[in-house]
Amino acid sequence: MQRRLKKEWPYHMLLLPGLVLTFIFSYLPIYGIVMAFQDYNPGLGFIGSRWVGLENFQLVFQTPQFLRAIFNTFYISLFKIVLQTLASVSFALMLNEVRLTSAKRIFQTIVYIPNFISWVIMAGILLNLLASDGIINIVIKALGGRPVQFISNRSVFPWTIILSDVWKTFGFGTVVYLASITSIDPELYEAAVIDGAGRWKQTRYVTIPLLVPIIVLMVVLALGNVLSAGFDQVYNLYSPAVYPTGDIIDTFVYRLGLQNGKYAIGTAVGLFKSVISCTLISLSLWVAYRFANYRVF
Amino acid sequence: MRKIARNLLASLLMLTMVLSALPALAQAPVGTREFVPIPEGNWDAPYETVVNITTVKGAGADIVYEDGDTHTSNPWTRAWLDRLGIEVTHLWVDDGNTQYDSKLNMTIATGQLPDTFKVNYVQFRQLMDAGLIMDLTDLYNEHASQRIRDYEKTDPDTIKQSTVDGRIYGIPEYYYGIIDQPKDLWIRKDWYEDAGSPALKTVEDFENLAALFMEKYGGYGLAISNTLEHLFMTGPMFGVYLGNPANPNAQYFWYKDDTGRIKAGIAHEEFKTALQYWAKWYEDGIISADFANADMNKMIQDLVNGKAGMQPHYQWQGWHVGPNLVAAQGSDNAYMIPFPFPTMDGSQVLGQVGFPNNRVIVIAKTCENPAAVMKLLSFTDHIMFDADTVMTEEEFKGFTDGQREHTPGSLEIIDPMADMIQFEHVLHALKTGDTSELFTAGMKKKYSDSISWINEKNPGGLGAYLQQGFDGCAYDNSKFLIDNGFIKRTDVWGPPPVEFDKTINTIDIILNGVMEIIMGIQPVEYYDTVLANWYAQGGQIMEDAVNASYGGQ
Amino acid sequence: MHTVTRGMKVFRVFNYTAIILVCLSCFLPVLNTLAVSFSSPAAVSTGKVYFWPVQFTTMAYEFAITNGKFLRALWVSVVRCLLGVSINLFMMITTAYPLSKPKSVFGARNFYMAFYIFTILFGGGLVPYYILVNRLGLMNSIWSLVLPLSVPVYNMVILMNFMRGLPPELEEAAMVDGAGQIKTLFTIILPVLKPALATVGLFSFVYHWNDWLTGALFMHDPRNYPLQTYLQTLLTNFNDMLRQSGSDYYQLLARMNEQTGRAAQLFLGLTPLLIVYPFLQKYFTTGLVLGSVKG
Repeated sequence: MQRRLKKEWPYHMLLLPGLVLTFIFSYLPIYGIVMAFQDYNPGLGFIGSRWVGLENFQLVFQTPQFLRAIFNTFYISLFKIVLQTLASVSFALMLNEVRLTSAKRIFQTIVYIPNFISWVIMAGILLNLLASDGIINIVIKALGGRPVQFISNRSVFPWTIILSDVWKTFGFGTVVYLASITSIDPELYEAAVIDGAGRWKQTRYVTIPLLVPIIVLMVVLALGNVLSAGFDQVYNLYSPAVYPTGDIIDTFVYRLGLQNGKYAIGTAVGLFKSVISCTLISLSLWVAYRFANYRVF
Repeated sequence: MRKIARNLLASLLMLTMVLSALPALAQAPVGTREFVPIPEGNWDAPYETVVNITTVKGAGADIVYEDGDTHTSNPWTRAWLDRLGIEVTHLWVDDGNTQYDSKLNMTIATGQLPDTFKVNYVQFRQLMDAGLIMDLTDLYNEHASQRIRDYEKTDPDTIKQSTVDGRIYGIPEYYYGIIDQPKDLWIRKDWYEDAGSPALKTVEDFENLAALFMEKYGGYGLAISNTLEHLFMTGPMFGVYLGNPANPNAQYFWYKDDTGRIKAGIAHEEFKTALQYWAKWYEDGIISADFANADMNKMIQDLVNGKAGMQPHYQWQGWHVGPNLVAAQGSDNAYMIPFPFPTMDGSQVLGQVGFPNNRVIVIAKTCENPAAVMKLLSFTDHIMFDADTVMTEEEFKGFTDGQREHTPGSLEIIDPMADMIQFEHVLHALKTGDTSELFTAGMKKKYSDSISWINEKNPGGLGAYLQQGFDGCAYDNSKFLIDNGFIKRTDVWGPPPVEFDKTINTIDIILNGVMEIIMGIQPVEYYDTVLANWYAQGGQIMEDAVNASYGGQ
Repeated sequence: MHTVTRGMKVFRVFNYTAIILVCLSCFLPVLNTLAVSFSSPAAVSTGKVYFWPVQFTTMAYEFAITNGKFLRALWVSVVRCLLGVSINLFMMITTAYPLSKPKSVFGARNFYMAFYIFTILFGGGLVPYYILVNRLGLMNSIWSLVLPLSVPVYNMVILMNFMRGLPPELEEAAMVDGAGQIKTLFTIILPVLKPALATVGLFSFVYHWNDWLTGALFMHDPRNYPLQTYLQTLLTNFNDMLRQSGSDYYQLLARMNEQTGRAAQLFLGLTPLLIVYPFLQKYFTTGLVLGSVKG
């Protein structure tokens, strides 16, 4: 026991500063969760406010639009995660084949840039591109197709959201995956070459298997956010015409008017999101461990 | 690699030093001054020893100060200190006014209340429940200026909303007047004149004009946005009065039906007539096929582009669309002018007036010198709206240049007749050329802006000109409605009752249903189902609460 | 020497074309935004601005820069980023390293890991957070912006994953030489992790640079606003402000509109990033050179 402590104490010491700050700033305020069960009044505080049990939860869960928003959130989020991962990994692999280092850097920078453009601006650009007389519909018409109402047709809208988000943010994943590829031990490739593997086989048998852990990690982390399907994006693109398929939890809560201090309902929904995310993450960890014998965290 | 760690540490240390050198929060100078004592009870009598008042404020981001001045030290704070002996300290300033409500809620949560601050009605109710704010009745009657107290004569009902059991707990900040509320139908002037300035009395007249515009200039007829905010402004054409779905505090407009029951506009029978017409307009192309894509920017873009020549809008349309339209079309005649809405039978349309007061000024029970707050409010009002105020030109500029009339923040109270008086003076000055009676910053600015449009065709002046610069301007239309009683006043003159908290996002049901009907996905009869859903999911609760609180049947 | 097969050549052409198309689609919106930021509101409203400014004007930038608050806010942001990224990197490194050890080497690791994962899932909301910052006396100080999120768990986990991917021999060699864990971390591990550090450093920088809400909440004096908070105050609720009749916000509209203003905000916000990026770039594509270490 003592030997173990002696061997491990440097680890504890290294962790200490982060632990202290995290405890202070992330754990101390956690009592705010009680607000979900209160008719919170800032003047009365957390102790003085009236307790209402599950009233806040009842209020949102008996609203059909909220249940619909939960479904939409899952739908949009899950497709975003899957396609995002595919796009990021493929693009990282494609970039990896670029030999010219400077070109590689430039490409990598460029695909990361849309991440900096806020959705307010991007939505303005998209609305113009996707309008019935916008460039995309002009092309569709020129090819003999029928114009698509990307924004106001409720069955198309979720896919407008999913695909535009994948396009805007895949550069983020690309940076991570490319950094991972860069960190692969060159000796492994050398060994593969000796075994007679070409570029494709190297990618197939060395790069991709070594990327799996980071891919799993990124997906699991994304699952932690599965109930936030991209507030800024949806908010700037949707309209009442597409509420049935496009409204997500966060936009629904936003319209509640958090400005007016409806903190309690916001907190209740937040708690619900936490519990679901927690379940999903645990589930995915268990699956990864059980079926691939792989520890994510 | 120790080097890395060392460098990290060194840079941290250096930063710490740099940071500590960052100037501390500026504080107004403290000092005692000698004053000639003035009899007690006069609001302008200064304190003999300086008293301190703490407050918080949300400030407009475009307020500009002279060099060295800040939100917390400027001509206003100096005047409060010099003339009243009151030193005002700001616990915080929310620049841009984006987080005022959140910051205030959290400040209340910390338990460290400023002496005085402005709250919305939800916060007012919470502070009352918590017993944190002071009874202001006696203070108000004894220490506030006669001018401020006279606002009750202009609008006797608003102060009742912050009066509990006959005692005043909050003083309304008031508003610029109901003259700014009625909306207009804005029409491209050049197109309208080319069409021979046809009469615009009936809905049919409107539809004919729209058809004419579309035939001549292409595009569509009426520019609206996807929140339905602008389409809902056309309700009065069909005798129905609707809220603004984009404003969470005014989503419904409540008024009595024939039986005396207060109902939301969307629940009145006439709303179906409106729906019928809207659906027809969509089918005929008067409403754009892309209206569901049209956010505010897109709507303006279409107007500026000449894709549409009509728009329902507020009296400030001339700022919103005007200058860009003129610049883009390259013509001094290409701008939009306001018309009263036509109606089904050609009768006079009514101007819609909702409850306009957003916030009330309260004083914390912990405040030691509450009378000082009354003095401050009276002083601010005196400087900004009192025709009898004597000031040097320099002082006036100090208080009002660079939007500084909004500097007092939580200590600002507005004359509910301000814009009506302003309009009368500005129009008079424009007609006679006599500028001697322009006594507020607002009047001077609106006058000089209007003049710059009239004389130099400066597009920046178009907004003021269209709002109050000529016979037939937006305020002229509104004034006509007010003077002749053509007003539809809400029967809920106050904030939503507390029961509204038991409903959520009910407006979604209506908006989605309305959009589907307009776009032809559903027939007009479908609205019965929509409305039934609305009642089932909270509409009934709201309607009952409103009738209970505001005396409906 | 590699022999370049025919298939390889075809692939390369295809690959480059695809990459360039994707990059183009990512870059054109930026170009468009840049053009908008330098165009007159009238030109923007007619939808005539594509990739080149129409009726060139710098009004939107002047509006943001001229009133003296800009440079101050920029300075606050620079300080915040230097401080925030340093703290983040330090904390991420010292946290990720022990957590990258398997349970057999570091017994308490799973407990600590759970401790951190919990924080990304559950939070108490803004109100108690504000009360805490107030109690700690950090209000209106730059520390309120850099201390609370000192361990960005998400990025820390990514870094930890990179560390786990390192060959164990790397560390064993150092240990045999008698170096302790801390010394090993700083002398052996970090140098080979430059691409990973640059990546998480970039994310951390972007977070600190773009975050505007905490600035608005915790800075009581607008003169202490970071750049993005300041720029946000100029533009949020642009239309809402217009609705407040009687106020004169709408006079701004003649000079610029929301679109041009936002576009300018974007580029003012981007500039420093364009300066920082090349420095980080060097590390992004630096391969792992283990040879020298392994000896």
